[in-house]
Amino acid sequence: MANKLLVSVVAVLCAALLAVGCSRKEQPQGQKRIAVVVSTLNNPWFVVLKDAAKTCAEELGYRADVFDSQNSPSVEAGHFDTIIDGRYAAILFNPTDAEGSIASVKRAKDAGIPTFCMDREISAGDVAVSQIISDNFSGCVALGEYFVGRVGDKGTYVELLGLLGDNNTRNRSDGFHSVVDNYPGLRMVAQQSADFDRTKAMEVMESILQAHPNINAVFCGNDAMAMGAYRALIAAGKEKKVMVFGFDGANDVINEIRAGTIAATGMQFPKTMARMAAEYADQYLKGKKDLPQKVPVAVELVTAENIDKYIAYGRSQ
Amino acid sequence: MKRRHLLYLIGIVSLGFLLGGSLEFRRLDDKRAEERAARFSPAEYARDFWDNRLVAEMDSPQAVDELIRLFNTDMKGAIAKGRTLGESRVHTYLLQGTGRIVAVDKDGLLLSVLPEHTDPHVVIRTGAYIPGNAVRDASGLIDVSAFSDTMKFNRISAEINRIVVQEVITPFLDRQPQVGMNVRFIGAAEVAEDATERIPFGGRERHEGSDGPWHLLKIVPIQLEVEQAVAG
Repeated sequence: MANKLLVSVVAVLCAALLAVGCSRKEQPQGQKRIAVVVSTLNNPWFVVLKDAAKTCAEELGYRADVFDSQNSPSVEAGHFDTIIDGRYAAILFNPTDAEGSIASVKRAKDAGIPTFCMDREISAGDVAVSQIISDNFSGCVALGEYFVGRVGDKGTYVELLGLLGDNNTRNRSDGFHSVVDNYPGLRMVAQQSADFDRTKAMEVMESILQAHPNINAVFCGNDAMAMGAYRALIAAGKEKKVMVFGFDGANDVINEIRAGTIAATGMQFPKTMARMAAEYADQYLKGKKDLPQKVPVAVELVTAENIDKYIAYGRSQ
Repeated sequence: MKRRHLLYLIGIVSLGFLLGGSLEFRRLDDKRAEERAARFSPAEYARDFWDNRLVAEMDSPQAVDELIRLFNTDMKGAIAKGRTLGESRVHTYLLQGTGRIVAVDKDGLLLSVLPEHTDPHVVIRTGAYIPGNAVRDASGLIDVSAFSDTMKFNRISAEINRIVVQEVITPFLDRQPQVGMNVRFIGAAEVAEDATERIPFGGRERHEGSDGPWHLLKIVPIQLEVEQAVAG
C-alpha cells in the first residue's frame, strides 16, 4: 500500500515537472491585448511613437495599453512583470537599455509573449521576434557630410551625446565621426552626455561655453538636446555664431530650420516604425513566423534647402 | 530496499523540480557561436568579405551607362534594379563600366561614361576617405539580421571603406591619373530617390540663373585601372 502511494507521488511529481517545461499560458477570452512599452514619455518624439503604436494596434483590432518606463530599466522590468502576469498577446517595445532590457524580453519570450522592438534595439538577435530600428549610423554619415560642408574643414565643435547605454547614441556618434574625423582641422573640444534631455543639454552647454566660448558648431544626438543647446547659445548671445545640428525631426527643430536658426537634423520616422511593429505583431499572432530580425528604417537629412518636403516626424507629402 | 529506491527517486525528482527553474541547458555549438560573436572583429570580417565573398559578385555588376540612361528616363525601373536596406528611399547598385577622365580633383575623378557625350556623368570617389555603406549594401552579401547589434554591422562598413582607400584608391592615384585617360572600373553607388527627381545624372544644378555643380552618380571603386592613355 505504501509502495503504491510512493509510486503515485513519483508520477505526480514527474507530471508536474513536464507540465512546468511545456506549459504556455492560455490567452484570456475576448479581445487580445497588446502592451506598448515606451522608454519615456517626457520627450515629444516618444509620445509620437507611443501614439502611433497604440493607434495602429487598435486599428488592427487589439486593445492597447501603454507603459512608461521613465528611462529606468528597473521600472521597465516591473512593467514586463505586469505584462507577463496579465497574459498580453504581444509587446511593442521601445527599450531603455540595449543590454539591460534583454532579460525582460527573454522573460516575455519564455512566457510565450512575442516582443517587437521599435526605434531602439536590444543587443541580442534571438530574443525579440523583430526589431524595427532607425538607421542612425547612415543618417549621421549624411549629417556629418553636411556638417563639414557648412562648418568647413577647420574649426572647433562640441558633441552632446544621448543616453550612454543606448546603441542609438553610439551609432549616431560613430556615423558622425566616420566623416568628421577625417578632417584634422575640425577639432572636438568637448563631448558630454546630456541623456537626450533638453534641460540637461542646456545646463551642459552653458558649462561648456564657459570653457570654450569660441566654438563654431555643436552636434547633438537628438533634437531635444539641440533645442537645449540652442537656448544656451541664445542666453550667451552666440546663437548666430554657432551652428547647431540635431537628430530626430521634432516639431520645434523643424520650425527652427525653417526659420534658419538651426542648421540641420536627421529625420526619423516614428510613425513608420510604430506601424511596422504593430503590423508585424499582428502577422505573427496570425501565424506568420518568418519575419526579419532587424529592419533598419532610413533617416533623411533635413536642411534649409529641403525643409519644404518635411513636417515634424515625417515627410510633408 | 525497493522502498528506499523510491525515496531516492522522489528526492532526485524533487530536487530537479526545485532547481529546474534556475538551470538552463544549451547546445555546446550555440554556446561556442556566442563566444565567437563576442570576439567579433569588424576588420577580420571585412577582410574575409573583401578577399573571399565579394569576388564572387564581380562578374554580375550592372553596366553604368545603361543604369544612367534608365535613371534619366524611367526612375522606377532604375530603382527596381537596386538593393534597398530595410525601409529606405536610398538604393544601392553594383556597377561596372569604362569612361574618359574629364577632370580630377581631391575628392574624385569626373568621368564621361556615355560615348556620345563629353560632359561628366559619374564621380569615381578617390578622396582620402570613403563615407557611407555603398559597398557593404550593394553586394547584398551582408545581412543586418545576422548581427546581435547594428554597431557591428556599421563598423564593417567603416573597415570595408578603409580597405577601398588603402588597396584600390591609393595604388591607383600612384599612377597619376590625368584628363583624357580612359579608366575601367567596378564599384558601388548609393542613390537617393529625391536626388534624381530634380536633375538627371549628368545635368547641372541651377543656382539663381547660373549653372551650379554637376549632378553625378558617385561610385566607390572596388576595382579601378587605367585602360589606355589618350593624348590630352
